[in-house]
Amino acid sequence: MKILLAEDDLNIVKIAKVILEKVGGHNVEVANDGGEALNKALNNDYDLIILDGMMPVYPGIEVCRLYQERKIGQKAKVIFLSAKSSQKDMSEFLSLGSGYIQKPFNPQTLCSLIDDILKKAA
Amino acid sequence: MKSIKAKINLVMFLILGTALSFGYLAYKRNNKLETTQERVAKSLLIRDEIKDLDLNKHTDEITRKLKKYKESFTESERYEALSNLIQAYNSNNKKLFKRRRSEFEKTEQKFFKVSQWIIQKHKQEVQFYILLGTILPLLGLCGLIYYFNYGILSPLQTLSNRMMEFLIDQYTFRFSSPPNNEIGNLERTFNSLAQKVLNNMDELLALDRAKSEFVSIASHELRTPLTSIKGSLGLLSNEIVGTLDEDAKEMVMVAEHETDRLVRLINDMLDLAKIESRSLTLKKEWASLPELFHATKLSLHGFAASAEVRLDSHILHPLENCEINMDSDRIQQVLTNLISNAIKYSPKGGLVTLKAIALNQEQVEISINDQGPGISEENQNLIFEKFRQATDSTHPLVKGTGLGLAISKALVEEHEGQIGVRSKEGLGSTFYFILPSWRNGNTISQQERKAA
Repeated sequence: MKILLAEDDLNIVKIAKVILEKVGGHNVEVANDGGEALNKALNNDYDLIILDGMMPVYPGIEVCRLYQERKIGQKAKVIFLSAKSSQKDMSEFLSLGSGYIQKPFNPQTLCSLIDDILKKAA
Repeated sequence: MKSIKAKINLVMFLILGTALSFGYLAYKRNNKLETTQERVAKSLLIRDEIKDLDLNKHTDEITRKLKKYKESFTESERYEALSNLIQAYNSNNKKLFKRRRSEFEKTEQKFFKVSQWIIQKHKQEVQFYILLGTILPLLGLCGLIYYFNYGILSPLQTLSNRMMEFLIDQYTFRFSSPPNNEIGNLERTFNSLAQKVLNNMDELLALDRAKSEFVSIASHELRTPLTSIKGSLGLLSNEIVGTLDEDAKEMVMVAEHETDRLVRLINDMLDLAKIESRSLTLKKEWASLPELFHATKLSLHGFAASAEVRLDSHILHPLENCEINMDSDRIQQVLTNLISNAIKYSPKGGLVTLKAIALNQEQVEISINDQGPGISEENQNLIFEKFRQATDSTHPLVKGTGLGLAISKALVEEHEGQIGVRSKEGLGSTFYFILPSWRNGNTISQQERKAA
């Protein structure tokens, strides 16, 4: 899968990228803030976009909303990655994207979790 | 004259004063009446004595008695008549005496008439004063009772109503215009007391919100670095980024376990903060108890096996197909907490028994029994508090956060249920919780589920 990973914490980016590439065998591109993420998402075709909940420029929710509005053609699935866990945040994530991953995620099961979410959303 | 005490004192004084003064007046009049009656009686007596005497023989005696007769009267009219009579005696002029005597008798008749009238008047006066001396204090007493009712008891009742409203969380506490007396003082004190309570409550609410906010922000801030730590350790221990020797791998595993514990602690703290700030909403619906037992057992199967503890479950009649009105995710969280506690404190080869019993047509008790060391009575009261653990876990792999029972208690209480423990030291423990409503499951849907 071709995945866009949008996350401002460089350590998390590094780890998630390693897991997605080495364990999942995916092709991963990285964006470090909401603006960059939106830009890349609109101009490239991805299979999956993973959005951090809180990023500079645009928060994940906003990126997702703008992406859904403006993207022409095939739209990628969106999964949120967030440390927030209030019921309000979760229902927002679920209404806009396919699902969410709670931080801190389990590195061993990250890839299977993503597969599960995509299967459920399909 | 604004205070109630002064008013009551005044009225009491007035009542007493009226009663005493009219009583005194009646007494005085009664005395006068008696004196008059005595005098009249005395004069009658003397007159009768004189009447029967021979004027020529007893001149001296008559004179003496008449003098006495005179003394018993003060009226000038009578005095005049008497002096005439005495003159007549002294002059020994019988003709004159006879004339004078008839004059005297006329005057005397008049006197008796007047006396009778005076006596009557005195009697009436005495009655009048007694009447006034009784009725006026009685009226005053009525006024006092009326004032007690409407001036004291009614405001007190209002005050107590306001306090009741305050008790049931309706803060309509203000007395808009407290009167300038003792009741008013009470109302003013109540006003300021209520204001203080409201202020404190606002402060507490603000503090509570700040605490919840702090917990949620702190948890978020903790989770971000933990993501990196947990991720790195996971990559290392799974040797995705390179091979490690056995010792290094073990160190990484320790770090990974402790990181997991930290994550659990943060999750528990967040859960508890959510429940305590009442921002947790239960998604209650009728859900199958056997399915819940099954799912919970399945999820704990690995943990029980690694601890070498057997996990058994019994659903007693008539609950075989029952449904419970609950948020099944949350009740599973409670079950998981209690069962993993039971496993943690069980000896190797021990048995943990999960049991459901219908207490009556509505309540169901779910209990988890272990063969662990038991809990002393004093600790039984403590363990449901936050960060309290009676003894250390015998299971080194999974250390508790000290919040599990507090969360379980809060969740069960959110379901309007009760949680508790029965235990004796050395004889194991039984944790139980009671949920308020169960019903027989729909048999058709059961079959459908089985078919599916």
